[in-house]
Amino acid sequence: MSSYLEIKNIKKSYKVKDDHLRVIDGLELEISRNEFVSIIGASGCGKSTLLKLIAGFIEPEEGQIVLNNNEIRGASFERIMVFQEFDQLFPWKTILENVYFALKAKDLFTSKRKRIEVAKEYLKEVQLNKYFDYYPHQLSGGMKQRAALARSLVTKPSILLMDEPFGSLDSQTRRELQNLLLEIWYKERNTVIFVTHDIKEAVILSDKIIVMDDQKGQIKEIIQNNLNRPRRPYGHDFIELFQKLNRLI
Amino acid sequence: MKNNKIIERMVWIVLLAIVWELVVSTGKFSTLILPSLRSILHSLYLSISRGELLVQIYFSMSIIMQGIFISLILAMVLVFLSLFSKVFTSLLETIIAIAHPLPGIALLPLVILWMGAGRKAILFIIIHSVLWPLVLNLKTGFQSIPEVYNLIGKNYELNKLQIMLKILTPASFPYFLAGMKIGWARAWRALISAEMLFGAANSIGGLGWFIFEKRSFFDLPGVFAGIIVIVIIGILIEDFVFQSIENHTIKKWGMST
Repeated sequence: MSSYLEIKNIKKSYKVKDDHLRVIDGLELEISRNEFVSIIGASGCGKSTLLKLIAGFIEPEEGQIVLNNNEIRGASFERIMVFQEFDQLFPWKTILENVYFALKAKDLFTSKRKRIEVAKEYLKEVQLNKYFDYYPHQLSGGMKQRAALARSLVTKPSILLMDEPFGSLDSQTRRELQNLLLEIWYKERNTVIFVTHDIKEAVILSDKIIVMDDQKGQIKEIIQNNLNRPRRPYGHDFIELFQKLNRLI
Repeated sequence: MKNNKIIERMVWIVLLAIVWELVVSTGKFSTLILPSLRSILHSLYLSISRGELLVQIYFSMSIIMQGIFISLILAMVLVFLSLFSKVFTSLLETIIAIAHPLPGIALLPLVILWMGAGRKAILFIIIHSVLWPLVLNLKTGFQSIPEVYNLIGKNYELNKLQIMLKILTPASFPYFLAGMKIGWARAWRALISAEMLFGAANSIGGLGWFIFEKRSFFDLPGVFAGIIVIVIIGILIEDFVFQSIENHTIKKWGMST
C-alpha cells in the first residue's frame, strides 16, 4: 500500500541576486493519513518552503508531491494553511464573518442560516463563543489564532498545514492552544503537518518529527515519537527525546 | 468632529464675524467692495428661497458625483489590468507620472477644442483630477497588502477577480479612502474653476458660474453667498461624510493608519 502523502525527490530554489539558492534538494518524505507530523530545523533550512510546496502555493522545479495517488496542482481546500501572522484574519470582517467566508468560498451548505450555524459551532469548538461579533483587532493574539484555526477547520480539509502558528504567542497561551489543537485533532482526525522551531512543542504534539538539514536541503532524520499522550514536558523519556532532537539541530 | 471641537469652531467663527462687521462699520471701505454680513446673509437667503442656488448646487454636485463614480470604475479597471500584465503596469505608471502632476485647469483650453465648452468638458476635468490619485493610492494599497492575504485567497480557491474584489479591495480600503479624499479635494477645486469658464455655455452653469455671474453684476453679497455655500459643502463632505465613512469602516476595523 502506498502512503497517503508522498513527496518524491522535490527540488526548489530561490533567486538571490544573480544566484540560485537551492533550499530543497531532492527531498523525499512519506506521511500517513491522520498522522500528526512536525517539521523542525534551524531557520533557513527550508521548512516553511516545504510547507508552501505541499500547500501548492509554489511549485517544485523537479519531483512530485502526490496526495492519495493524485499529483497536487496548486492550492486547494483539501490542504488549508494556518499562518503565524495574526493578520491572517480579515480585519474588516467579524470573527464570525471570517469563518463564514471559508464556508462561502467552498460553497458549503446552501442556506445562509446553516452556514452561520456551522461557523458558530466551530467558533465554540475553539472557545470563542462570546466573541462572534468582535473584529480581529479587538482580540488578543491567542484569540486571533483560535479564530484562524476555526476558519481553517470549518471546511474540513484533509490536511491541516500549520506554519509556526503559535510562534508569536507567550508560553502560557501557547500551551493552551497546543492542548486545544490536540483536542480538535483527536476529534477531527485531520492529517496535520506542523512547522515549528520549538522542539518542546514538536515533542508534545506530534507522532513523527522530521528534522531538516539546513545545509543539504534534505531531511536529516525522521524520528517516531511514541510517548504516551497526553504528554507533559517532563519525565525521563520526554527529556531524552528532547535532548536527542536538540543535538540534531 | 467632537462636540467641544464644534463649539470651539463656532466661537472662532462668531469672533471673526464680529471683526468683519466692525471693519464694515468703520465705513472705510465701500459696501460695494466689502458688503455687510447682513446683506450677504440676505442675498444667501434670497438665492436659496428663489431656488436659484439650489439648482446650481444640484448641478455642481451631480456633475462631480458622476465624475467620481466614473473615475472609480476606471481606476478599478486600470488597477485590475495592472495586476495581470507587467507591460500594462509599466505603461500605466508612465501615464500617471505624466498626468498626475498636471493640474486639470491646464487642460481646459485643449478640452474646449476637443469636446466643446459643455458638461462633457467639466466631466473630463473632474475625471482627470480624481482618477490619477485614486489609481496611485489603490496601487500602493494593493502593493502593501500582506502576502498572506494572497495565499489565503489561493488556498480558498478564489480566482484573481474574486481575490481582487473580496480580499484586495477591502484590504486596501484605507488607501482607497485616502485616494478618494485627495480626489474629492482636487475635483471640487477643478469643478469650480471649470464652471467659471464654461458656465456661459451651459443652461445652468453650477456654483462656479453662480459666483462669476454675480461678479459681472457687481453683486458682492451674492459672490460671498456663493463662497459661503462652497465652503459649507467642502466642510460637510470632508469633515462629515468622509469622517463618518471612516468611523464606520477603517476605524471600526482597526485599520486606520
